[in-house]
Amino acid sequence: MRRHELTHLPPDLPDSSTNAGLWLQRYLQFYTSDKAAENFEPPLQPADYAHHPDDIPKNNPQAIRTHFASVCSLGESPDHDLFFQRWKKSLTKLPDVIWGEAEVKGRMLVGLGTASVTEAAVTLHHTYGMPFIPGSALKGLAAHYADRLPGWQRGSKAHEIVFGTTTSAGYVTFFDALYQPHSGHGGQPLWPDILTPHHQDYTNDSHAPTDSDSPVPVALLSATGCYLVALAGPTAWAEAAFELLQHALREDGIGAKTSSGYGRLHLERTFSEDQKFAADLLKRVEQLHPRDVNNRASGYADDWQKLDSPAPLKLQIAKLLLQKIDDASRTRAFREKPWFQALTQFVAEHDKG
Amino acid sequence: MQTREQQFAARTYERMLAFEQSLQALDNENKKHESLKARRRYGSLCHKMAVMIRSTGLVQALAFAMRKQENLTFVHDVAIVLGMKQDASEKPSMQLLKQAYTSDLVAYMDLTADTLAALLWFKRFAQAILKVENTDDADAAAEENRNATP
Amino acid sequence: MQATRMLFLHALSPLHPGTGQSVNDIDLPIAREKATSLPYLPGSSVKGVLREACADDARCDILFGPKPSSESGATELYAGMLQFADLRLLLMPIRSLRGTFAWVTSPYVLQRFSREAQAANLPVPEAVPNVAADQCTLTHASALTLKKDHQTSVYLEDLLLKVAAPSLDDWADCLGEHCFKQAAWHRFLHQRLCLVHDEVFAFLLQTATEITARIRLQSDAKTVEQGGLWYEEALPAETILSGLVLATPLAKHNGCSAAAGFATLSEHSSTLLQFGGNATIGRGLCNVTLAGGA
Repeated sequence: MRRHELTHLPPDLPDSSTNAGLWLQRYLQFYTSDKAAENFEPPLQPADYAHHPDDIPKNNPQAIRTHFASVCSLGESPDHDLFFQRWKKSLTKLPDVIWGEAEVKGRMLVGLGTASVTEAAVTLHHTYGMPFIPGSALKGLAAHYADRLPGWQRGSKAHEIVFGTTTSAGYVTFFDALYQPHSGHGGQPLWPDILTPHHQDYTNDSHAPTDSDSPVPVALLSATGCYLVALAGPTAWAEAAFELLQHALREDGIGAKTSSGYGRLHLERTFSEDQKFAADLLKRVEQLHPRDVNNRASGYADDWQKLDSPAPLKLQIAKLLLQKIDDASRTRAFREKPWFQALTQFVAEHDKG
Repeated sequence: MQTREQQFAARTYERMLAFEQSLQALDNENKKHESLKARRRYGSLCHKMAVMIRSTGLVQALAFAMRKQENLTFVHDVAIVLGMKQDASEKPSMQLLKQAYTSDLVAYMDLTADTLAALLWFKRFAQAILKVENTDDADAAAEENRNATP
Repeated sequence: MQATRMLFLHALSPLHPGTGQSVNDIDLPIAREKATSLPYLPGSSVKGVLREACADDARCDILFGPKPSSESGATELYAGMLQFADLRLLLMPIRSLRGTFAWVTSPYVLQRFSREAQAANLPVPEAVPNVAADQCTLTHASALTLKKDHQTSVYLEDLLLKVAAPSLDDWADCLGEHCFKQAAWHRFLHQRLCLVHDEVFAFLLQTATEITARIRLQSDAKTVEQGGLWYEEALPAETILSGLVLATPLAKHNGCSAAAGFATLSEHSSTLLQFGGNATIGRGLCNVTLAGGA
């Protein structure tokens, strides 16, 4: 129920520049037809309510469904595009950030239990109103998945490093995964959904999407599209966490109703030019045949010096290249070369066991 | 002369003691289940109502709470603390909803601020008198994560 | 010679300047000034983050003062060149029925900003417009307005504000120039800048911040821990704060001038930096800009 002075809005509202989160949370009307609305207001008469509080008009399911449909029809905020591009650009410029695109397979329900007058809600970006997956949810999902893997259980060293403990923060940052513009199903990120409640599904009545015993199907808002997943931290750990997320998003799913198939995402890494170059070089060095070492090692070392990658990856490639040279018995021949000395010096400085 | 804060505190304390006594009366009649349910519902609203108002606005939050019979004791008590009259032709909770619904900008902001101030006392006394913590309401939020388990 | 600059902080993800515990209906509220209840980020946190950003620079100790070394005690302690005032709220993004959101501020906030800006030699418009309690004022290019029955209005959260004659064009120019490097964002601000009465602003700051429910599950990952549900308050993405930075070169600073100190600070704060709580879930990523001193 809206405030009285918000009851009759200008006819062109809402539109795509309406904040969807605001519309969802604060602009629900009890009634869907004008006639019903007239009976309620204005003017407000005590008779409209009778004298028993339980005569207050119910938030009928049809009103909620209509409201959800209007939220979905808002489509995409044109302003979100500018925000997303800036976010992506500044984020991917940070050191130690790895990222990728997660595509929702079907539908996703994140934030079903958020405080809302529609009972079943959805997590929307506060300022821009587009759906997103909170960093806290991604972190929780990955931590829970890790807990079931050998060597990754709660209390293990790996778990503590990536996720932290109650007393110390983890080393890996899980950023909010923002909705990629124009990636939603049919060009819109949110879709109305209906779920027929299973008697096991809602054991707790405080957040049940309908008045408890009602067999009426529940109206939901589900999210579709692609989301920019980004993690930051020491490369090896961030990559491990990314892999955990890939599995967890595919196998467990995120959000609510995952047992009914909701919330499965396909997550794939996206590489920057630097990262691609480093990965390519690593592959070339790995495949370097002893008989080619003589011709190619110095070229690979030049490429290595151009790398703008984090130290652990540079170290890995440098060590591997030196190993290949040694395997081909060329160490003595190259010893005086500046590029060879650059490699050995880097390894000496960075290789701490 | 009491300040507004002192008034809210004193009235909230009074309302909640009365509610606690009504629960004990239920206990004595061997209706433990009902009493526990009522305690949890009331206590959960003490913790949740202010956040609800901040997220959805005063009118939406009140109307939402008042849809359910079992929330009315709580809304009634909040209305009394805010100074709605018990002997009027309308229930105090309805007076509050209507006042929120019809007020102009400044009155609406004032009423919201007053309600939030009163609810802070409800939250404090819920912990002290009703012994209800906000976790009791958290299981639904856990449901999302529960489903992550295969 | 002493010099002063204005530091702008622009949040790209929700910012949580924490306070520790509080008696509030929100378990983890944001820090607010005692006298005015306006949100702020303490100067000490700002300094900590910027020091970290400059850690690799030879001038780090000069700018921020050497860290007391507990082991040897050999390092001579002296005051760093830079002093950071608290960063205070300047523009708050408030959800709108038109234009997605408005960048809202109030006469009191702009007046305070004006005084500080003068100290930093930052040119600002001469006057701050006034506005009635049920009104707001905008720029000519505003994207926030709606017309109904000959009345132009703005809907922020669940408040309806009547639109007074536009009077913010010069302010939008001024703030856009200082806060944003790109023209697109400058224009974006023009379309969204909105001045409301101090009381309305105070109300919005109480009831329109971002509130998130957080839960901590027990190790079975099914039930919530005792005390494992809490509500956190944050300043939403697009919040803009500002505050002064003062540089006082001393003999100990080896001839490093205030201008050189600011240049070093600018250089190292040109990427996203993380401020406030909840770093590991991506909160508090901000752009920092130094302005003034012309």
